[in-house]
Amino acid sequence: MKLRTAAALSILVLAGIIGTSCTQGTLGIFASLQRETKILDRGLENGLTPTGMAVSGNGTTGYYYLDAVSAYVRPRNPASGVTWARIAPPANGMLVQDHGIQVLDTQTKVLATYYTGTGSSLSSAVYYRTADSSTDAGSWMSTGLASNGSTILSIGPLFYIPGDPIATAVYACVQTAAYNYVLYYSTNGTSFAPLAATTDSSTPYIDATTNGTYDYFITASQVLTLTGLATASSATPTDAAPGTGNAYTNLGGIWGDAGGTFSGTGDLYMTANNSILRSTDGGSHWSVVVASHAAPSGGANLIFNKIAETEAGSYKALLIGSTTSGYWVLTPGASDVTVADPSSNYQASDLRTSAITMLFVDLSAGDNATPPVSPTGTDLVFAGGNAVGLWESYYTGNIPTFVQD
Amino acid sequence: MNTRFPRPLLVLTIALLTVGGSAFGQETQPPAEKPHNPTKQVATYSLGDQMLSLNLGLFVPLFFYGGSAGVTGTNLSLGGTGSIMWSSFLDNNWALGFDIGGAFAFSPNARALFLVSITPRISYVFHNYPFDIPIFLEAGIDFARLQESFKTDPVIKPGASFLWNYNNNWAFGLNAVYWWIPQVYTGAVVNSTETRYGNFLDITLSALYHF
Repeated sequence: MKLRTAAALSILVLAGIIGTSCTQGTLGIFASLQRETKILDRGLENGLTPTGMAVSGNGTTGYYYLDAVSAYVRPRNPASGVTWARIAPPANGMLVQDHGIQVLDTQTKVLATYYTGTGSSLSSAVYYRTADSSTDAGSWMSTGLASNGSTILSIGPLFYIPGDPIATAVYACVQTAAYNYVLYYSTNGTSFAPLAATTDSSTPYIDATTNGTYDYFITASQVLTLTGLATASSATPTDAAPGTGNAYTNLGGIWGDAGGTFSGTGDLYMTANNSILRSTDGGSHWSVVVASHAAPSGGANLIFNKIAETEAGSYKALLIGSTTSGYWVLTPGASDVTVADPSSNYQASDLRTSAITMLFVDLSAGDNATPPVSPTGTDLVFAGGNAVGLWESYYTGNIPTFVQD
Repeated sequence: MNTRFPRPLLVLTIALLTVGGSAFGQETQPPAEKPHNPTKQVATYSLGDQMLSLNLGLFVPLFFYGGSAGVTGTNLSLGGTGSIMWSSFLDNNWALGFDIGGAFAFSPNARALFLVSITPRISYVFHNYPFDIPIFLEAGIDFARLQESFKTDPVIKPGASFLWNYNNNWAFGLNAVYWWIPQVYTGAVVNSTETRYGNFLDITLSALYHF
């Protein structure tokens, strides 16, 4: 009887081996371990949630600025140090989450939206300072754009669009009434004015880009096309619905191929819930590039949010953030996203299983780096995740090495 | 049951029994009834005798083979392992049973690899009272998990033990088991270039109960 039981169990297990082939995940388990290296930690608090970055100057004199509740600064040239220093807030406040800090390089100014207080007593204001490495609170100056309880209720994200064809400016999302948001802009870095164009929206603006001809700002459900400082149009995309139940109610990020480096000059890419959309006619029509992609842990599809582009040498890709599973890669012409950096220790990072809260690419970082850190022409990709800190990687077209800041 | 022994094993068994004197077990003969012929095999165990063991110890990742890099280190830390084994004797030497084992080890960034194996097991036990030396082969299924990645693979585990019989029921000793896990990807879900062959060694202390 016992032998029969043993034999039956043996047969059962052997049948299981033959008949069961259960694989979950995107990479080989042993192979992933084989490639793994220890991730370097540079000392910035690992529990931070980075939500915005900006860059000033050139490779020799410039700086990176980080929004992670507090503002941080570090040299752009790694030879000058890679340690972030916290910039004291102007009024014991906190930076606006998501695009809270920007640089207006032509004016050598850093601009930041700080808010203080809580609930009904919440107030916010945009400050500026010289784009340098100083960290004292006294260097912050008021731009005059501040909440006043009547015509300006709050101030949200700041946007700077590299290569902006409309104006070299920092834009601010300003709440003027309940369920009404408009855009202000600053070209001098010290004061703001409302756009003459009609930019009213019932929800805040969350991202901005250009396709080389116009500027595009998105809210969670609409795309605003800014054709001039005095002219704009807003529309809810209606074609190319990104799948059942995926109406345009959860837009996450937008990126414009102004230089035609990725697919075609002027193309726009936008995330919309489970989908990635593309417009080749300046936002008039949208088509689905990626309808959906299953989360690596199974279950629901990925919800995409941020977009950034890297173009290190011949390697060109859009980096697409997700709300649960790090960022993904969309290569030119592809109809689906693929695993990001399969051969790097990104796979072992906390970022990979986190909500992406920021993607920022310094396309000329390779010009700043000191060999052998990075050859000229490589990109430096920064990525932030929810409570997992800031990560960075030089993209050389081969295997990027991830570092935790 | 008519069991055929491989001739070398039979010779070795008889030699060990000769050196070690009487074997022990449920059917151990009283000293007065010891066979006078020293070359005669003493039946220590018989069909239906069972053993259950608990094993705990170290899990030693050895190397991976496969992929463009060929043979490489695993990047895993020294880990831990444990298992429960049950076997039933077919005769004095051969036993058939099962082993359920688990192991863990950590990557350089503290990712935990978990392995769980369920394996039928065939053993051949050398007796040299008060010692038993089983050699065994296990082949079965392995479940591997690393973060959200999961994979079922075949596993082959050859091994050997060195056991000291404390009394008729209890024995204590040391096990060494080699784990060979061919983790083959076909390309359907994960690219076939991700195929690797895992090689590990577990070294455990064992408490074994005869009944």
